[in-house]
Amino acid sequence: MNFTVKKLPAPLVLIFVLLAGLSSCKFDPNWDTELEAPIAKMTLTPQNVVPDGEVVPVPNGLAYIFDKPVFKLPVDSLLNIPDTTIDYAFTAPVSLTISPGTMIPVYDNYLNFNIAQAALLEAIVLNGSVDLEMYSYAPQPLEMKVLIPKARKNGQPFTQLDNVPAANGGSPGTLNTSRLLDGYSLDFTGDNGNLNNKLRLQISATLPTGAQPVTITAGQQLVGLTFKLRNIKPHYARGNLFTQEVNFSQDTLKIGAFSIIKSGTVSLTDLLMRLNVTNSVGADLQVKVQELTGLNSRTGQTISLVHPLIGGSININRAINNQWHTPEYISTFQQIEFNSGNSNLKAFAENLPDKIKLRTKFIINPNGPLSGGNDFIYAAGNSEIGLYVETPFSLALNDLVLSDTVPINMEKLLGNGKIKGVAFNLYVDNAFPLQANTQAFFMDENGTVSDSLFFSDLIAPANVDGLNNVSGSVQSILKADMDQAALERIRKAKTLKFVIRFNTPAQPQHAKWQDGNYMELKLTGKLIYNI
Amino acid sequence: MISAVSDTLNWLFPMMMWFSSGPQYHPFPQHNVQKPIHISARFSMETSSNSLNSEIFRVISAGREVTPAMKDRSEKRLRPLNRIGLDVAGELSYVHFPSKFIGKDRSWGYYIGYKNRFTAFGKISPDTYRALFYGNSPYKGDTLHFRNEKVRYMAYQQLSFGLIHHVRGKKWTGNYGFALSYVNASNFADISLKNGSLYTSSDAFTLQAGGQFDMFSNDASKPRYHYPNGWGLSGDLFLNLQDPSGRNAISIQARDFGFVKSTAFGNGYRLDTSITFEGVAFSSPYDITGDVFSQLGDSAQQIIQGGRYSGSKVIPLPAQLSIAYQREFIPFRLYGAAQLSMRFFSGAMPMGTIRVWGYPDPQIMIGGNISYGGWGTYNIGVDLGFDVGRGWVFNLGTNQLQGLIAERAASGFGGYIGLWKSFSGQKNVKKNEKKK
Repeated sequence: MNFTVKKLPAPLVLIFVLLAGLSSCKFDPNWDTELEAPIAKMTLTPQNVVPDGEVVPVPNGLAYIFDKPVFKLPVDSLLNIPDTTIDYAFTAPVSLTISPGTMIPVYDNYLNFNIAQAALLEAIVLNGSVDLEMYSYAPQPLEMKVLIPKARKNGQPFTQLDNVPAANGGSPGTLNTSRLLDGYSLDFTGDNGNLNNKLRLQISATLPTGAQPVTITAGQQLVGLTFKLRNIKPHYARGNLFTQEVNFSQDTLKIGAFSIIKSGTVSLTDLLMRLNVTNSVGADLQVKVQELTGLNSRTGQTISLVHPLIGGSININRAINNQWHTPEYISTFQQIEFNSGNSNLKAFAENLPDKIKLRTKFIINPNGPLSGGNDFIYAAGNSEIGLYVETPFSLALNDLVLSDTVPINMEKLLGNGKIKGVAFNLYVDNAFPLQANTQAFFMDENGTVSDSLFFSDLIAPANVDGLNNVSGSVQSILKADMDQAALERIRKAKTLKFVIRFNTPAQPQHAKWQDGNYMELKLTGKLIYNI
Repeated sequence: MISAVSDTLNWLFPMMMWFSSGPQYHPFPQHNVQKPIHISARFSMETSSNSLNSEIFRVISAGREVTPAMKDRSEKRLRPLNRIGLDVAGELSYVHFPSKFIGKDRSWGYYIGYKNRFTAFGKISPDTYRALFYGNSPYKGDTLHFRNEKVRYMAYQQLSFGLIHHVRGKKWTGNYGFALSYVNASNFADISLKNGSLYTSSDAFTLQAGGQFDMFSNDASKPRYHYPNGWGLSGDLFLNLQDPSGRNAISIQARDFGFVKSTAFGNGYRLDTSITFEGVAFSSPYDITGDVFSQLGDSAQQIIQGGRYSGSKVIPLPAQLSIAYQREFIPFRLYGAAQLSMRFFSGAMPMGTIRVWGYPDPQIMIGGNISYGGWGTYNIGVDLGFDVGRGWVFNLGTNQLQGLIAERAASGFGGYIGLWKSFSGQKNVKKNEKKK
């Protein structure tokens, strides 16, 4: 047998054979494997299912309590000590020669505090500073002394000693200092104890004993200064607080428990709400609650609370000064109680308001200062309004829908299309007297729903006895899956919106929540993954 | 002129195996051995296992989908310890016996070669196969055990230079050669798992994994083929001897003894612990503020982060040592050989081979072999060779015929093809003589 071959470019043929051989082997594994793993778990309890407030045991069940301050009257809105500054130049009244060791009084006068809200008699400084800028035209250095006799700390008056350098030709010697005034007690009553808002300041200059005598002519400026008391915040202040009105309007008070409710109705058995007013200021306080309105943002419906004190006034006594003891002051309290008997509170609550608008007015010393200079404030003594809500967890829920969204990056999760399907199992052990079903919506960045994950089964309610008390938990397994086509549809999803619809069985009967109720949720996922 | 020494070489030698990495033989050494220049291209692929059937290897190597039925068929064949191996090699070689080199009798030749290699092998337990092909889902409520698993894959290239010397002694004639190769390691991973287990609770609420896991791989940010993620050296030796009658010959070969050393940017991960994973725990529904699945990934990341390390590692190359005896039964018609070989650092067993080949026509070679060992068990091979003239020779064959004809019932799959061109070098001599 004879073979013949034409003359071929040998290297080319050889390389072709090599490449053909290599390219025929792809070595790209391709099979499906089923990976199953836990994803998330959570146990819902009465205590963690409501976002605000707390759940406490009460006879025959549980009660939801919301107790938080909704407005604080800031102390600095009642008393503000403004920065106080003096600019002063000392000019020789006559020609004189200053011998070494001679002291010259430069400034000796009251600092007048321009406090509009009060006539202060005394204060203890929490923080603040004394800033001093001095310049001297003397050809010799000067020893400067700043003294505030009625600013005392540990029994010693505020004293500041500094040297101002000699002037250099036409350029004055300068000195800039800043000293803290923290912890000083300030007596604003003047030299004789009969003034207010005044503090004496004394500044003097002395030619050092080793210096040459200095001669200045009449009308010649010797020194100039700028003195400033800056950012004075009192820890405590006493005096006469003038009548002041502070208006408060809060229309963004969010009730988290209601903000995730998207539809449905809630029937409550009973409800109690209080406004707790606390006065920590040593002055009479009058509070006028002008409006208390609940807004359901979803429905747009508003219901204003109707009660005799809405629009009226309540007077709260002054706090008691307990200075140098603990606590330093004793607050006084006043409560305004709303219930189903004296108001439309039940309808107000069943409107499921996610925002509450509260409009009030605080009036300090409505009849003027009557304490003879014993009104007081402490820096920590904020007067405030607190909201207290208490309702038994005995509810009838009718298609109550809770919804929330969480961010998700499906593009990243799905990767390069290796996931051919997913199946979720939601295992639920329910000891709550309510049933639920759930669905998850995948939405793109514009909020458009791409697809949904639908758990077709129901979370079955717990078994209850004749008194509507939970007698045993009930297990449910909810299943949902998505095939590869559905996964491709949700590839661009950026948010995942959970929607859970609750109902209580045997409506309109109310179902009681009890301590020990729980709903254990465990989510597992199975991926059909293409290797 | 070809030297007197090489003239005396009988073509019985498997001499054309010189530095080949694959299983192929030159089918017609008798026609070409005296020629001074040889260029060849060879491609070979071999997959083998002592349990997994040929079908699954064929489908995987073709990039096709492994169906559940295919998985099941191999699963039924699993043994307590399952060897798997894959070796793919493409090579180009140039061998030249110049008239003026070391000596003037053409007894010395040099070899330049380039090989592109991919090899993967391992020893796995049945549960590793199940975890890999089925996942953990079918084994809920059960524990998968990974007793002493070892898997390694390497993609590397070798640039080789070697010398070949034909010698003639009083009783024996033969040749020997040696070569040194620079190795570029582009992709590799070395994975071992001892005393491992994976428990999936019946409801999949809990995953428990444990064991001593160690993995080292090349810099993951540099996956490109041929990227120098490591380097190494390897050496080859061969010795062929035949008796004066020319009817008996022995051949000893040591191939690819060497190593690769990764760059300092290799990624390692070592874990010797027990991990329990129960998903992301939320204390209240209002904690679900982030991407749940990202948190899931973060949790897993936290678990594995502790054992991560980077650095360099030396990995031995899979090397082969073989010894063969060759016998001429009918001159120019029928030959036989027996070979014992061992692949080191590859998880393979020693392999014994018996080969018979013949020439029904001077330009056609038909061969067959039977072997046992290596990564698999028994193998049956056939090969064909054609001398098409003008120095052109090609052959093709398989050493795992059983995998081609009964792929569901047998293990092993592969084949090889080779193309040779031998030049006499006479044209240049004549041209030079004319010029003179």
